[in-house]
Parts: sequence; structure tokens; C-alpha cells
Amino acid sequence: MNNIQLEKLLATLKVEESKAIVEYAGVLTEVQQKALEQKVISRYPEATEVTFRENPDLIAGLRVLYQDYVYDDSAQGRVEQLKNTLETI
Amino acid sequence: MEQLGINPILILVQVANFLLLLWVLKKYLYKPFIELLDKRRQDIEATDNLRHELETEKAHIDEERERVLNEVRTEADQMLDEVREQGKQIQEQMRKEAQERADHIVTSAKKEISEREQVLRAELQQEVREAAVEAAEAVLATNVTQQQRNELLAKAVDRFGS
Amino acid sequence: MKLEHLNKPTTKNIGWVKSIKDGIVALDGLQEAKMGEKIVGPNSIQALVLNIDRTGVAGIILGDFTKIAEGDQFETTGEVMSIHASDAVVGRVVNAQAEPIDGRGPLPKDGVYMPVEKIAPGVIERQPVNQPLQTGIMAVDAMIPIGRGQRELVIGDRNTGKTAFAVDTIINQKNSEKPVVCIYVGIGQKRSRIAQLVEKLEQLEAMEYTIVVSATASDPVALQYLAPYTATAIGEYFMEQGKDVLIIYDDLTKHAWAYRQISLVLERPPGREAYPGDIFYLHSRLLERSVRLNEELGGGSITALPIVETQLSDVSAYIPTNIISITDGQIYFETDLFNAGFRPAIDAGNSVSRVGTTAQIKPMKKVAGQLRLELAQFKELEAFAQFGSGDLDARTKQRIERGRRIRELLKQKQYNPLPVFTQVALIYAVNNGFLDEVSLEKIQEVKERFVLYLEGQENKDNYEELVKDYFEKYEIT
Repeated sequence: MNNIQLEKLLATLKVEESKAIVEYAGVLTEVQQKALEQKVISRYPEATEVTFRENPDLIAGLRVLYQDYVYDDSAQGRVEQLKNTLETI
Repeated sequence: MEQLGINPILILVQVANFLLLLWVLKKYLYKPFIELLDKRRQDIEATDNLRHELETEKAHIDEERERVLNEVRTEADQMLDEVREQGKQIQEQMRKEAQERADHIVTSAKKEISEREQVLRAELQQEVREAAVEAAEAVLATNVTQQQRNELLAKAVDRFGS
Repeated sequence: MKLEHLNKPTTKNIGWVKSIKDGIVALDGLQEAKMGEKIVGPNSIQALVLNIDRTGVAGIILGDFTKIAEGDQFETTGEVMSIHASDAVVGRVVNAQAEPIDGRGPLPKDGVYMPVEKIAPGVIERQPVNQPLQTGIMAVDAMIPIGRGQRELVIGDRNTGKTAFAVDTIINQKNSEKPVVCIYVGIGQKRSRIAQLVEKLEQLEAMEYTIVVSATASDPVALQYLAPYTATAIGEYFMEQGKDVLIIYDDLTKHAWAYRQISLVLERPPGREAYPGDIFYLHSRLLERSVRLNEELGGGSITALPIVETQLSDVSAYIPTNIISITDGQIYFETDLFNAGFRPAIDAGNSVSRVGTTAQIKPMKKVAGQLRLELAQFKELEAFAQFGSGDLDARTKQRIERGRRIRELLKQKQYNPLPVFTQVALIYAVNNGFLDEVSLEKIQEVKERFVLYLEGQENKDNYEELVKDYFEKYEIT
């Protein structure tokens, strides 16, 4: 590809990198959404966009994905922790 | 003398004849005969001596044989004792070895059993783990109501960032 | 069961597999990963982080890397790579992750997690090496003595008896007054060899105090790289309890090959002989962990016997010279000696122990000094020995004959280590001419009979009298 295409590709990659995603299970009100957006940006200042999507696999709670960080406050996450703890005894 | 009919010359000749006969007899009959008798007597004596010697030798040999037999008897007795002793030792040895082998079998069987036990225990533990996780997932998936879900979500929203 | 602390949100740092090549995995993400950290992937497969750069993170997979696919997710654990060590590991055969592979059931989890990488104890924490580690091989215990806490290199071409020597040393620890835990690490060996070794050790009742760590040639190269560090971590577990440990690394040449393979796949720049630049550090940090701790820390020790295989006796090659400069001496195994029937094929002239006589008991020190001298003198005259004894003076002839007998005496059958007082008695006997009248062919016989005689003796300390008694009464050659 030529230089211009390369630049365009890099630009899109940069944008992709700085998106934060919030996954949730249940019903998320406008108020909650706004609050979360604030919190996410204050936690990850370099994030340019916060998107929300429902993920029933979580069973309950939420999960925040940004770059390679995963903040997991979901029931499914607790089950994973249980599995890991059981492995070590 | 002639009246008696005795002829002195005849008597003389008779006597001479008799003496001659005697001499001839002595030389050619008696002597060899006596020699023969002597020889026979000697032979008999020799045989007697030989017999004597043989008898003494036989006595010696008999003595010797007795002695040797006694020695052998005592030696044989000793050997028998030794063999008996060895036999006992070997028996004891075999018994000990058999005992050891039996003990060894028991200990290695015990070890095998305990190892099997551990393997089974580990497998069981793994199954329990998996069952626990499955149970948790199942319970959560089915028993969480919409209301509980919203409550939990609200809590999570509050928690985040603090 | 601590379940309360599970009920908290977690923050993980994750990465995705970009590529996987022969056990080396390259990942995107994982920006929080640290060097030497343990990361965990699907099905609980572990990997060890070895490379961090702008393009991402790379590590070696400790397990079945054929199950990993592009895009699979790995996460950080925040822990350094460590293995589980406990008292129950003695007598077992384990892999490079200290997991049992002898089919005798799992190991209990009631021990301690020991880090595989550790900075060696500092100067203050050590004490000088002055306790002997008896190998049971006369040539070594007399002239190249090894102390507890020393590193002594075992070097030679292939099939010269290096591993046999190491195994005899393990067997000899059965008679040791202060017990020694033995660890044998097989790196890149054939499985059949490890199996035979374990069987032999079991037969000779040596497995009771021995641990075998095995990363065979068919195991992933990541495990071959890790195995010596795992063995050292297990050794440190026992050392910190105040025990003495012997670790045999068989062999570090193959370990270097494994690390070279990993480094090349990680695209690190190749240096001399295509080895990476830190090949020295690979072994120096490993062997520096063999120490003798001071009394406050328990007085335990780790003695290392690393084995290095040379090609055509070239001790000036890269890896051999590296390790020679790290260890406290070397025992040199010579092919010519081996082929000529002198086994163990130890070239005492070129071998050295930098700890030396400090690690010998007094009686041995006394007799060994003369032995060394006689042997050295004999070596000088060896050329003349070829000419037959016609043209030489009596003194020279005597030296040659004495030397020949010493050499015969130093031969030992495999699996036949000798207790130290037997060795002292034998050396005393040859030093003081008790064997001068024995013909060369009969030396082995006389030696065997004498050894049997000594076994039946109660008090072995007055070896001088024992030797005199025996040779006056029994040996009429």
C-alpha cells in the first residue's frame, strides 16, 4: 500500500486502540450510563470514546474493557475466580 | 664152632654183607629219606611260621581296621552334626527370605494401594471442583431475577472507579 | 476456604496470541507484564515471559503448545514463575514444573512455592566450604576433593563415564553421616536413559533420598530451559531447612542448546556460535545459587556437579570455557584413558579442585599428599616405562612400579563407591609399599579381598594397624 493508505490505516488503528467498551447485564439507565462514562474517562484519560453493549453472559454486573485492561465486576467473573482458586488447593 | 654149623667166615661175610647193605641203605635210602623228612619238617615249620606271621598281621590289620572305622565313625558323626546344623541354618535362612519376600510384597502392595488412593483422590477433587463451578454457573444463570440483576448492576456502577 | 475475598471486582491485564512458533508465543497487549512473570492462558496453560519490547510480549509455553491458537487470550498473574516444593518430592521423578511423572500419584500441596529465578545469597549469608562431600571414587576424594557448597565441573567427551561418576556419587551418599538430598536433573537426555537411571537408583536403594527432575529431548524446549532452575529451586527448599543438597546437572551443554533455540526463535541477535549474548549469565546465575549458608541461616548447602560434554576434548570451546570460569574446579574425563580400561577415566593431572584439601578429613589429607606426589613423579617417568626395566636404575624402576600400582588401585568398578576410611587404608597401603610385591594382574584381587576384610572390622580409624596386620597375615604373594 502507498503512504496515504498507510497513514489512514494507522489512524484507524489509533482510534480503535483508544475506545473503551462497557459490557453490562440487566438494564442500564441514562443516569448510570452518564456516570460510567465519566468514571471510565477519569480512570483511562487517553480514552476517546466509551461504548456500551449488553452482554447476558455476564449474568449480572459489568465489565470495562480498555486496550488490554479488563475490569471485571460480574457474576461470571466471580465464577472464574472461584474456578482459579479451586485449582490451587 | 664147626660143630655147631656156624661158619665164621660166613658170619663175617654175612656181617660184612649186612654192613654193606646198611651202608648202601643209609646212603641211598635212609639219607634221602631222612632228608626228605627233614625237608618236610622244615616246610611244615616254615608254613607254621608263615601262618604265625599272617595271623599277627591279620591281628594288626584288624586293629587298624577297627581304629579307622572308629575314626570314620566319629568323623561321620561330626559331619552329620554339621550337616544337621547347616540344614537348620538353611532352613532358617529360607524362612527369613520367605518372610522378607512376604513383607516386601505386603509393603509394595500397601504402597500401590496408597498411590492408587491418591490418584483417585486427585481425580475426585478435580471432579468436585468442576461440579462446584458448574453448580455456581447454573444457579446464577437460572436464579437471578431481573430485579436482582438491576440491583447488582447499580451496585457495580457505584463501585467502579472508587 | 477463603471465599469472601473472591467477592471483589478484578482488574486483569490480558494479551492475545499473535503467533506461536515451536513453543514460543508472541502476544499483543499485556503491557503490565514483567520479565519472568507467569502468565496463564486457556486451559490453565502457563507461559513464562522472556521478551518485552515495542512489538509486544513473548514467552515460552510450559505445556502442550499445540493447543494454543492465534487470538487465544493470556492474562498476567502478578507472580514470578515458581514451583511447588515439599518433603514429599523426595524419591519422586518430576518434570520441569515439579509435577510428578512417575505415575505414583499427585504430590500434596502442603509445601512451599519456590521461585525458579532467584538472586544468589550474598557474601554475608555464606560461610566457607570445609565439609567434605565424599563421592566414593578414590581418584576424586583423594586428589580432587569436593566440599559441600562447592561447584565442581564434570567435563569430557561423550561416553567417558561422566554420568556414571555422578550416579556413583549419589549412591555413596547412602553411607554419609550427615545425610545429603540428591537431585539429578536430566536436560535433553533420552527417556530410556532416565528410566534406566531411576531403576538403578531404586535397585541400590538410593531413590529414598534422591529426586529426579526430567526434561528429556522430546520435551518442549521451554521445559529443557527451565529444568535446571526448577531443580535448584527444589534444592533451595531443602537447603533453607539446614540440609545439604547435591545437584547434578546432566548436562549444561544441552541446556545451552535449548536456550539458543529459544533465543533464536525470539529473534534475539545471535552471537558466537549462534548463542545469545547472555549465555554466560544463563549458567552463572544458576550455579551461583550453589552455596553454603552460614549457621544463622541454618548451615545448609547446595553442592553442584554440572556436566559438560566436549567435542573431541576441546575444553577451549565457548560453553566449556564459560562454565570452567564459573565453577570451583573441574574433573576432566579423558577418552583415551577410558578406552585403555582406566575407569573412572579421570585425568588427575588436568583436573583441579579449588577448594582442595580444606574439604578432606585429616587422615585422607595425610595419605593423599604422598599419593599425588608419587603419581606425578610416575607421570614424568612414564615415557621411560616403555623401554622395559633393563636400562634404568633401581630408584626409577621402583617409582615406575609404584606408579603403575597406584594407577591400578585407582580403577573402580561402576556402582562400587568406597567409604572414605577404606580409601584411606588402601592409599596408605600403596604408599608404604605393601603392594609393591603384588603383581599388577593381582592388584584388583588383593584390593577386593582387603576391602572385604575392612568391612568386617569394627574400628576403622586406626587404618595403619589394620593395613599392617592384614598384609602381614594374609597376603603372601
